[in-house]
Amino acid sequence: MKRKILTLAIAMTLGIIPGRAEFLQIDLSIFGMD
Amino acid sequence: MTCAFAVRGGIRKVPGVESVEVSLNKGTATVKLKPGNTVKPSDLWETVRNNGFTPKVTLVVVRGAFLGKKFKVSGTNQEFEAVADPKNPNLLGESQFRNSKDLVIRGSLTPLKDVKAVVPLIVRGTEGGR
Repeated sequence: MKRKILTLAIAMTLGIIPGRAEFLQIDLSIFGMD
Repeated sequence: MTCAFAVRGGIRKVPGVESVEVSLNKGTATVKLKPGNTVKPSDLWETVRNNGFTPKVTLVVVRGAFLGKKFKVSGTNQEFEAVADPKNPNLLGESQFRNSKDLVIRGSLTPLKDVKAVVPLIVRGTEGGR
């Protein structure tokens, strides 16, 4: 159990868990849209 | 109006998109993304182009890490060359940007004709870390 928690903590520290970083919002300017 | 519906429908189908608001007056689409998404701006640019329009300057709010002059979006392993906003050329020299591991920044990307081409990320400021 301790090993699992330690592994998870290391993974979070290194930022290797998917979803820790991502695009949150994107505002697109679009030419020619009506 | 039909055109706007087509763009909105197309973007909404991109996995990871939570909501899309299209403004005809401004000629913009505001896309909110789900936590943990792996959306790339080029996915959205491609969708816009496939609907017959041209994607232009794109404002982004993105979480990631600075590795030297690169900004890495670790959810997707995308890397952008980080460039300071010309209005604030010393921005990236501030301590919060140096080798920060978890930072939410505001910036802009301008797609090229080849929407898959890597473009620089113009950094305009931060939104604060997690």
